[in-house]
Amino acid sequence: MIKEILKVAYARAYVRIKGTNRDITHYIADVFLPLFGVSAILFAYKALNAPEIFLASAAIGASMMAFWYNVLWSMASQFYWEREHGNLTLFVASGSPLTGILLGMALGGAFNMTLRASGVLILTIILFNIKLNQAAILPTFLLFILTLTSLYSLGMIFASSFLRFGRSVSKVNELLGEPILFLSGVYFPIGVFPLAIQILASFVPLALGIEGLRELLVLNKSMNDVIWIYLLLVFLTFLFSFIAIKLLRKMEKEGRSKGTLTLRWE
Amino acid sequence: MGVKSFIRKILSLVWLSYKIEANWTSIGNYLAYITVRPTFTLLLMIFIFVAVRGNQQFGYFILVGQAFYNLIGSGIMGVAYTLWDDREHYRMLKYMYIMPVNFSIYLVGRGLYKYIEGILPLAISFIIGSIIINVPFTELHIQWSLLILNYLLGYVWIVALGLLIASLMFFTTEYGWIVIESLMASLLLFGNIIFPSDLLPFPLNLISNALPIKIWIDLNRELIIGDLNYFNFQFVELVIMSFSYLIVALLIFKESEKIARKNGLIDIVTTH
Repeated sequence: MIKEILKVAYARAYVRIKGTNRDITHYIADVFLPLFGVSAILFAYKALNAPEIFLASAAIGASMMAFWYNVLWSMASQFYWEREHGNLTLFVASGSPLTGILLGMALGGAFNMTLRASGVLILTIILFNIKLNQAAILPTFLLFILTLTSLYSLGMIFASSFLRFGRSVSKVNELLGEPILFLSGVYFPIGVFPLAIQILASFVPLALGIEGLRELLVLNKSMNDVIWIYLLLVFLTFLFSFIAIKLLRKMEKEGRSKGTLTLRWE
Repeated sequence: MGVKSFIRKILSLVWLSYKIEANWTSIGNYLAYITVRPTFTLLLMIFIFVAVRGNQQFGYFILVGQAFYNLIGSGIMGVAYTLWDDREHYRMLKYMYIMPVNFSIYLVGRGLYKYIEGILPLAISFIIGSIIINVPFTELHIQWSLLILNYLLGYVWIVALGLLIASLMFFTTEYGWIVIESLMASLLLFGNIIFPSDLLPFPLNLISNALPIKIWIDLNRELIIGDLNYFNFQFVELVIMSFSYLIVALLIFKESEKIARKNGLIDIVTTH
């Protein structure tokens, strides 16, 4: 079963990676467009005479934003769109495990976004002469991977549960966009929030990831100092993956019995 | 076309837009939905100021800039997105096109609804932002008549930008989105929104000076706090700039429409 899931995941990830990267203009747009926004934020910090750490923090946070949008628009609502286009019926009829398709969507999306986020971060570093702690590359890489696994596991939960929604799915996505970015402190440290909101934010993988990256790359902290973030991200990955698989099976079963797997134009 | 008939058409289009936008839920849910996103976008920017504990004047600068930036986004999307939505999503563009309404007026009317709708999130996010950065409401001496005039004037250049994007949307759908995003992102950078655009290095500051948004946003800041209470030269400059943009945009739109019609692109569906 695991071999089958991995084969399906590879096939789905291949399509996603090939499809997204076949046109270089999309890559250029995906890297250069966020640069306008990041530049505006960094100019605002400069206008406020903020210390350099704020600029570096905002650069990291802004480059991570793409992952959240990818989770919402290319994970959460994906099964809904597949159903609208008639592909979901084919997926189910083919006998491919839906968990493999979800995993492939996550792997492909994470790979594509990593290419783009790296581009945004590198260009921001060059343009604004931002200094990051280069000695923390390995712990940073590990933290980054854990952030992606937990974030995309959350995306898998959304993808399973969003099958319930009709055309209001895009509205739900829009409602989840900016509030989570705000809670994650993409442009500012979440330390500015009251304690209760900080605790709430610690269940959001994006917030944990950005905070961890800041501590390692900007505040020069060691892996031991932020070990709680690593542990929490591992915990969230397992928890979200477990919930996602359960939910997906439930939705598939419900969909088959109620005939909603093929329902379109709701 | 008489003024009465023109107003009737515009009002019908505004009503139509409302019906299309809001028919998926109850009015209460819809109002909450349109408010959430702009409010959190504003909070994202306001907390830059909160994190640094900057001076309140700068907080006010960001507050007004971002609150009105959301309105601009709403207006531009209202005009440009309608073309895409009608063609690709609802597949109704061909029917709209044969209506006895000039096509550019159709887009202006549809976009106007989004511009009007934007007032609610603007007001709510402004109040929430003011509370966060401690702007005392008693210190605001809003010049209502001039502010409303500026609001109406804003729609002139916003329509112009929307029509320019719509002109491009005739020929592409995929890249049309990139253009919309580029325009909105560049307005955030060049538009005097969250930092004074004079800080931009040469020659980027020249781009900012050529955009009506810079004067428009500054006028909003001055009119809300009450620093300006008469129709000054900035207004004249804005009127000239806005209508110049509109005339150019209408000419380009007309030409694009002609080419698209000739090439059979009006109702083409690319499923992007």
